[in-house]
Amino acid sequence: MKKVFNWIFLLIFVLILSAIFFFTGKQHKVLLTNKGKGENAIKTNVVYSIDNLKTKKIRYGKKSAYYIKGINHVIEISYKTEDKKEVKIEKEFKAKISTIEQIDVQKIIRNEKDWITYKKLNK
Amino acid sequence: MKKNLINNIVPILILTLIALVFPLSGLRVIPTIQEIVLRLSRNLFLVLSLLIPIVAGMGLNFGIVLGAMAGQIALIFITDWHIIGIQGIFLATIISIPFSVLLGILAGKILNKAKGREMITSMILGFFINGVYQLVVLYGMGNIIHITDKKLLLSRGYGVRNAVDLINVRRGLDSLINLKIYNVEIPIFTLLIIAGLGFFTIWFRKTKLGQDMRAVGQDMEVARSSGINVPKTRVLAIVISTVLAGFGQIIYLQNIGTMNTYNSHEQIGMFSIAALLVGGASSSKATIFNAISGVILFHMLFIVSPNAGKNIMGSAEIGEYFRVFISYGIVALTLVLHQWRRKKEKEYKRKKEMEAIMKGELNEKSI
Repeated sequence: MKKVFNWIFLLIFVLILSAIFFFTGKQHKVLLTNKGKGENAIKTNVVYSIDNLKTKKIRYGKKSAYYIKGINHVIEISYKTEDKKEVKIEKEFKAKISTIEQIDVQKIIRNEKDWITYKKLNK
Repeated sequence: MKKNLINNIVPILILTLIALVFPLSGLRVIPTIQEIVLRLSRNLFLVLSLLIPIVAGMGLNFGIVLGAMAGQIALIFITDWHIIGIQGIFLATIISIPFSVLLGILAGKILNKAKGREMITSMILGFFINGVYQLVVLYGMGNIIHITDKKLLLSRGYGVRNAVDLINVRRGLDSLINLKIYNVEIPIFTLLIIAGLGFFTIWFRKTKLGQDMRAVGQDMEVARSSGINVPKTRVLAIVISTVLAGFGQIIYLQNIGTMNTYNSHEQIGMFSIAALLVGGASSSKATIFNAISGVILFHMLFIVSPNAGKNIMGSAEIGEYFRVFISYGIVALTLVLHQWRRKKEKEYKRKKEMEAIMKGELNEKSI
């Protein structure tokens, strides 16, 4: 009986470990857009990095893709205002399984709520 | 002294050859050391996975190819699921375990039916399972087994491509803890894992199961009469070796960074066994030292011979042919010598027994 319990315990442990590796090691694609609409649009180029990794630049009106690993992330964006003052914004977000994370940089700059949307992956 | 020399004739021969050829190769010391460290971290785990079946008297397990296939299937899955980095490598090792265990049990059971002919049986078994593997990967994946990433599949929609890019897990283990000494990059974490396996092997030999395996390896009849379940012990030896080979193949491929889906595993058994034999092991006795020295010497030949061939004869290919001829010739010679020595020992033992019996009979008659 003890032997059976040991095997069950080991199996559960391995399953939990596998789940941890799966979720923390899963690669996600993040799509960032820097397009504004109407008068509220802030026409500026944005430099960004996710989890303090490689820094990338998105010109105004363009899109960019970034690959990240795991669930919890921090995006840091920086841009220059009209009076050449540099502004840095940091936001936290979560990645979901089987989705592409779409981040609207303009909404982050304007401090709007729904700056991230999740799009289901087509299989 | 003479016995020691005869027992270590293979490593001595190879070492002499390397010592003679190295100055002619024009290679510098530091890059050569770097290459050896890299190859040691890449191959040693696979070579160490051969030790346990030798303890159990099952000879050189050519069936590690089965474990290698399990490791590769696991790597295909993690590539498809986009699990990257160190997590991907660890998840692949976990996924490889059930496949390795199943294949190990199958191999162990078959080898129990072919006692005394384990090496050739395991080699042929490797070819057979390779066929099954090819069927699963070439037809089953994408057809029966769901593959999400279409880039992994052939253009017809099923079957995995010839080469799987492991860029997302490439050097995941090696670069985790890295140390640079005199321009030599040492993958500490991988070497620690290998050292862990070395200590595990030493510890395992002292356990009850390890002692049982040794008893089975020495004499199956004596082991059976002392209450050891011989077939089960032999199956366990092969299962452990196959599981370790699966891990070894993952370590090997994460270092290379690309997987040749249909070929990567094929030469693994031969290369690992050749390295072990070059290190001075035989099919009945092998130590961790044999494994380490074997990998160093065998791979030194790989590094030195093409350059030496190029410098001496103007063609790297001639050096490579020479290496193949020397290294595999030595492997064949080692196996033949071992078999010859075993036969001679048996004959000597039988002669002694006969003499003892004759003396006993004479004594009985005289009484």
